[in-house]
Amino acid sequence: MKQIKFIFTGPPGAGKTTAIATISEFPPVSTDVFSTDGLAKVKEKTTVAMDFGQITLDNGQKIGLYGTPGQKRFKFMWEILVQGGLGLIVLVDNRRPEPLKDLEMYLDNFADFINETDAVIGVTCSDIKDTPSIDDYQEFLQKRGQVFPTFAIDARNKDDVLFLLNALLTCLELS
Amino acid sequence: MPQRLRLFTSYLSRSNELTLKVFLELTKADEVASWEHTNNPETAAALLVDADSEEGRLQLKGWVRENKRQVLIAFSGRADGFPENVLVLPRPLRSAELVPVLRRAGEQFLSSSQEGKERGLAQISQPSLPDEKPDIVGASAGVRRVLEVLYANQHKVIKATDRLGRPVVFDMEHRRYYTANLVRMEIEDLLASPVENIQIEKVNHDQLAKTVQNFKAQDLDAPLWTAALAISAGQLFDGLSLTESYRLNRWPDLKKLGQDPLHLKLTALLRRGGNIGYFADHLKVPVEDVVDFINACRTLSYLESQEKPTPAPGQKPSNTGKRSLFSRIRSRLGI
Repeated sequence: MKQIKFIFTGPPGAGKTTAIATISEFPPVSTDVFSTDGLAKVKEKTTVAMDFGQITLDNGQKIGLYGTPGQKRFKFMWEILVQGGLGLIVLVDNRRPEPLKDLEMYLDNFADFINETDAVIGVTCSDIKDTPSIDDYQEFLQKRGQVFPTFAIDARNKDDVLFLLNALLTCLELS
Repeated sequence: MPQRLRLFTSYLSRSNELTLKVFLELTKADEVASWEHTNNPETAAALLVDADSEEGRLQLKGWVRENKRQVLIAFSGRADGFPENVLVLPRPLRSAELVPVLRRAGEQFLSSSQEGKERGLAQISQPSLPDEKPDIVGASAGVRRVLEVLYANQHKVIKATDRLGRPVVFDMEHRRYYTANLVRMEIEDLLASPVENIQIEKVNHDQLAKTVQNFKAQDLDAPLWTAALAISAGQLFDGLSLTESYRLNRWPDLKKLGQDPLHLKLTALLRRGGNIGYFADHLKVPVEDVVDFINACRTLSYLESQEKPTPAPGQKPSNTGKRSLFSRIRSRLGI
């Protein structure tokens, strides 16, 4: 039986592991290794297979919180991880050189999954670099003919992560 | 060809009035007459009053005494006790009863018109009176607010100066405002003010930098949103309609604009599109609350007309299993 789960995706360093940690009932099980490429400047470790967290509902049902590896070379993992997924949380790191292109890449690669479910977008580190603005993200989505909940968040802040999940659940309930 | 006639209503509750406006759309296919709402009794073909209220009962009496040329309709829980020439619309308001009553009213009015009595006065196919606004005009009817001027000037720079001589410059293209001495609440008040109270002028884009050189740029979306909600009062802004289908072209930043759970639900629904009645039905909330939200979305230019017809509530297969799962997840996460 496929496990019911939420999928967190986004570029390396966007805060997927951190976001999962803020709501999981145990510290996420991560398959991190030390970065050896250019990424090492940004973060010491990177996820190569997945992150795994979990919440247990009052009826005992387990809901998985899966973080995909951020780097595109692990794309083969994305298709495996989305099976049984309820919806997608895309985290975008605003400090990166081209965050809108990052977003485009994830939306395109997860297009089938998003069509079947739904997606929300959390923009992280916008306090460090404030462009593109949330308005720029919305305009970018509008040009693609898409309307997704998009908010600036701090992945370490539980309220922010719950706000994103709440928006996703509302979209799933009312679509 | 069916005539277009106007209906004036008096002492109706706001929710009955909004419901009635939706029901009036059902008369569009009528062979005799289609009806629209008006706020001007002089241009109306029929006058409808809630005759169960003391004030409404007295008004109806007055109309009968004045021998009004319009057809009189009493909205009442009582079936009898009214003069013969008064049509009765039974309470509660239902389209099944309203439509036949309006058909009779239309026939009566048109037959009296054909007898040469003030023919055409209430036929809105003729040019409108200069101050006559469409009935879809709500809270703003007759009062034009600063935020409406801004909405009508989407890509321009507008300078507004209040009665104390304090200027605010609105850069609509970049959704910012510049002020030296007004706090956020004062900006919201200014946006909600009638234009008569404010001096408004356009500023050339190339003069913007000079005009605002000592001012700090601030985000305009949140004050616009708050002001729109504040003045809305359940009445649609000019140009919006209860029956037209709308959808969102972008997701409002509800984190910035206020985390209202109803607004989140309405946003999710509006993303797919539909009309106001559909949203209210689907979420089981008062029409007025939806109207307020629609007004706010329009003020921020997030709203666009949708050509596709609205899906009927409950048309989509319900997924109760998933709903219960989502509800358990919410409960577990405390959201």
